[in-house]
Amino acid sequence: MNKKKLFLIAVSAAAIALAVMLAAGAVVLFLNGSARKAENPMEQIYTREQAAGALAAVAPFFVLFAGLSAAGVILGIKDENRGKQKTTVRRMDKPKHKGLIQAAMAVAAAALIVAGIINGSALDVLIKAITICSECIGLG
Amino acid sequence: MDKKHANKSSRRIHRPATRRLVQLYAALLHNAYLRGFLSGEIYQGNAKYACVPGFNCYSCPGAVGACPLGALQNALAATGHRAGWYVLGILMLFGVTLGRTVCGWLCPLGLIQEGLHKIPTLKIKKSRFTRALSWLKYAFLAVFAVAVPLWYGLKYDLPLPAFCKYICPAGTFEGAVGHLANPANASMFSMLGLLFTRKWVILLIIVLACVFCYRGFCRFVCPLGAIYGLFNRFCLVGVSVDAGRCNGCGACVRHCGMDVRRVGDRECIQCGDCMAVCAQGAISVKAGKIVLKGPEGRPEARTREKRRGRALWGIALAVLCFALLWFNFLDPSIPRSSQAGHSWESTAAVGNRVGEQLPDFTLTCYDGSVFRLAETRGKITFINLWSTWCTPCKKELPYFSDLYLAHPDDIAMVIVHPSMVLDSPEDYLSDKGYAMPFATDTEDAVWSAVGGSATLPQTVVLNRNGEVVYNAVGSVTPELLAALYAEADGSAPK
Repeated sequence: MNKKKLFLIAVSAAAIALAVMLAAGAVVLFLNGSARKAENPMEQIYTREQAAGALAAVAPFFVLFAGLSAAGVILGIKDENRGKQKTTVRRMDKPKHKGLIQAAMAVAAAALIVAGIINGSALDVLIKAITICSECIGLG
Repeated sequence: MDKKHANKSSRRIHRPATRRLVQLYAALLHNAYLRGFLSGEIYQGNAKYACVPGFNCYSCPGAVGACPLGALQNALAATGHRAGWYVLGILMLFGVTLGRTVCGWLCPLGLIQEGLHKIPTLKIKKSRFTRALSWLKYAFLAVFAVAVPLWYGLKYDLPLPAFCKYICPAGTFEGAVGHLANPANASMFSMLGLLFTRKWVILLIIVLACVFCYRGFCRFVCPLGAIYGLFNRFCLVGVSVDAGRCNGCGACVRHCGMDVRRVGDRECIQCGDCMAVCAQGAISVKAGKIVLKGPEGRPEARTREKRRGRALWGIALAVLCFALLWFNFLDPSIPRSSQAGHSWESTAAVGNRVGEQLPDFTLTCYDGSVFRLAETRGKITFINLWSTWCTPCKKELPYFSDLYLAHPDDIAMVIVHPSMVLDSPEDYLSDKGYAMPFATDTEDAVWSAVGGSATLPQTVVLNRNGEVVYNAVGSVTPELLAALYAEADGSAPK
């Protein structure tokens, strides 16, 4: 195994270790916080301070990973093997009446947009976009 | 001579490609509300009527347009009330004009994925297995982006954008982490629980997949790419192969990082990177019949292309400058009510933080009664901000009703809907039988008083002296409500 491959394996391992540490940190915070909340419903599961603490614990892994990645980029080391595979190539047939289909679709799209503005579904889009749905972005 | 030529070509390799510059430009334009990153609030202007072409969470502090996938899910969830023609029309328009050119050139998430893939690790090669896996995104589209929102909307009348809630890495990264990272949103930590933990782990898995596998999310998960892929053969702007020049050597397909079988098929993101390896010069990026980027031709044609490129960049930069100015300083449609809530911070006694007294307000409830905050002294007061389009808000209403019924003479309560009404709250509540009074905040007085934001639900609890003991966004449980009642009861004697 050559030095380049060893280096790539090391960066890969660092990336996985960093991700596992970040995931484990969140799970530990959640389990501890849940236990506290079970005793006192007023308690928060996550707090800003605890989250900062968990991130600080992962910092050495991040520094290691970032350092290795930067070194790899500067030295131009990369996995040369990617993308080299046997491929059966077929040419793309040009669809018949492409221009006509495009025009029909564009007209249909414009008609749908106008219908949407009339029936209020455009307002739907605005209202959902200007309010934060805490559940939808994963806050809770 | 050779050395000089080699130096010149190596300099060319390190110059950012046109596509990368366009991706950066598009990412900035998608998130032109830079003030949001400082204030921790989202853009609330009229530009959010329009969907952006790329995958960009509309809860991102910088987002100036609506995410087409989030809008699609919410439109499907609202099918029982009105058909979502608008979103379907917009998706069709982007599809027929750009197709997956959006993925290759405009999508901010595509840019992030390509950046992650630059990290020098071992890479997972394109294979038959990854090709088969590329169909998975159609399953995500069918189940999470279409079936579940439609089912929940029609069956339970609850908006549930399942892809956003359970999977979307853009929502977790741009929305949740984007807000949590800002000290102004410290109160949002109170909402975090199992859902956040799960989505955080999913985000990490997707990030890791993108490090090892070129555009891992785009190829295997993204429902928006799946939709645009359906239009790829018919789109106006995209990669075009000159059948007369092509000798079928397959260099283009072998070079491509995506799971393409042919240039321009459903998996092709129209990036045009294959142009560099086509010895025949058969591939070009076209808009209709106009060549936007083609194989190097005669010197005069190259000069013409360069001149046109400079002119296009000039226009693009002017648009960007205008967008930054407009969205951050000039847009008159941005409501200022949320900032008004903070203006009481200068006075010690009146405010909306714990220990302060809320400013007085009056509301006319749907049952005809009048709720005056000043008249609730001596009782424990619960104010809840909700809306008909907010699923967690609807889920927690029974808890408030139960609490109100448990202490009818000791609790003052009002459940307040924002002034922007989509479906009549009274119609929604007509068959629910909730005991507490409901009202609409027609003049935004309550929103201003409690420091209401774009995030719902929000609950405020006052003790008998009218002092705030709790003011937070996020869902509540019966246990938390009971604990809040006890705390408010203990903080001021009867």
